[in-house]
Parts: sequence; structure tokens; C-alpha cells
Amino acid sequence: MRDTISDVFAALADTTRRGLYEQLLDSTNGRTATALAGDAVVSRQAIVKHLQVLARSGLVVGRRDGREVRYFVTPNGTASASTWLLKRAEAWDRRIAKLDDQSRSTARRRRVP
Amino acid sequence: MRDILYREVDVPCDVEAAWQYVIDPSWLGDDGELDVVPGGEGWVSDGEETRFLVVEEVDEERHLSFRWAGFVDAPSRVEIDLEPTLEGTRISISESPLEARAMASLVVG
Repeated sequence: MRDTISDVFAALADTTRRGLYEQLLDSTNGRTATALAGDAVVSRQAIVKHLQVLARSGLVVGRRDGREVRYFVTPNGTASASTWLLKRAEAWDRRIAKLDDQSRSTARRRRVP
Repeated sequence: MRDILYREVDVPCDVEAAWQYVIDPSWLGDDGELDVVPGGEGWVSDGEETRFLVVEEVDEERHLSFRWAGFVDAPSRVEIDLEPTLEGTRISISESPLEARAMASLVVG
């Protein structure tokens, strides 16, 4: 089974890739690896590899443009990952509230002589 | 990779008492059982969902980590740390998906 949520987190766990993804989010016409390498400290080759990781995770899609590939963000690419995160975050809020309640009620009971 | 979910809570009891709350898995859902030794197994029910746990590290009154997964949910790792404070105990909790971590280190940098 392909686990897209983990792929998305893994893709965005790297700061370079996150930066590339943010740049693509801001561009309406997509960008090529060459264009992205223009204002990056890493090589074009590294950018291509990072873009391939982003593409495998489903966050971006590459379309052939002459001799290059132009990358675009996928609409709702982060949707499944953010739903996962939100669901988990809510669950932890509930658990922590429970832990907090338990410890407070015991602390109160202990204070009563 | 940073942990994906992070929470902190200050509870008004000493680490000894806080540890007892933490190792009783019922706070993780509605009900549960957990064998709190490295490699120990357990379960937690939460509404219609049941998760299965495997304990990884146990450092009494300080640290507990486990992996867990449900039938639907991908496996993740939970780490819980306890730290004494002036008023009681600070419990910090983090959760991150397992594959993301493993993959992040494999993926080219």
C-alpha cells in the first residue's frame, strides 16, 4: 500500500524541498529546475532530485516544456497530510485534557485531610 | 526531522504520580492495557478505533516511547518525557509517522 501521507511529510521534512515547494506555490506558471536553481545555493542537479521527490509524493507535477520540465504544485496536494495532522492534533488535545483532569482531581483529593 | 506533533502539559503532581498516569494507557483513549517494558505490547480503544502498541524505551519517571498503529492509521512513534517543575511535572509528548522519519534519512540531501 502506498502511504501518501508519509510521503508528503518526508518530502516536506527537508528544508530545501520545503523552500522549493513554497516557491512553486507562489508561481502561477510553474517553474523549471533551471529557474529554481537560479536563486538557490544548491546545484541544478540537486534541485532536480528534490523536485522528483516532491513529484513522487504527489505535491508537485512536472510537465514537459521544450527541453525542460516545468513543475507545478498539485491542487490540494497537502490535503491528506493536513487532515491527518488535524485529526491527530485533536486526539492529543483530548488525551491531554483527560490526563490533566485525572491529575488535578487526584491532587485535590490528596489536599483534603 | 522535527517531530510532527508536539504538546506540553503541566500537571500538579510529582513525577512519581505523573508517571503512574502516563503508563496507564486509558488516558490515550477510552480504555487500554499496556505492558510497560521494552518490547511490551498493549492496546488502546478510542471510540470505534483500536490501536496496538509496542513499547520501545522505558526510563522510569522520565521517558516512555512506543510505536502504535491502528487498522486504518499508519504506524507512528510517540515519545513522552516527564520533567519535575516547581509546581509539579511537565509532560511533553511528540508523535511522528514512522515511515516519514525513515524515508527522510534515505532521501537525497
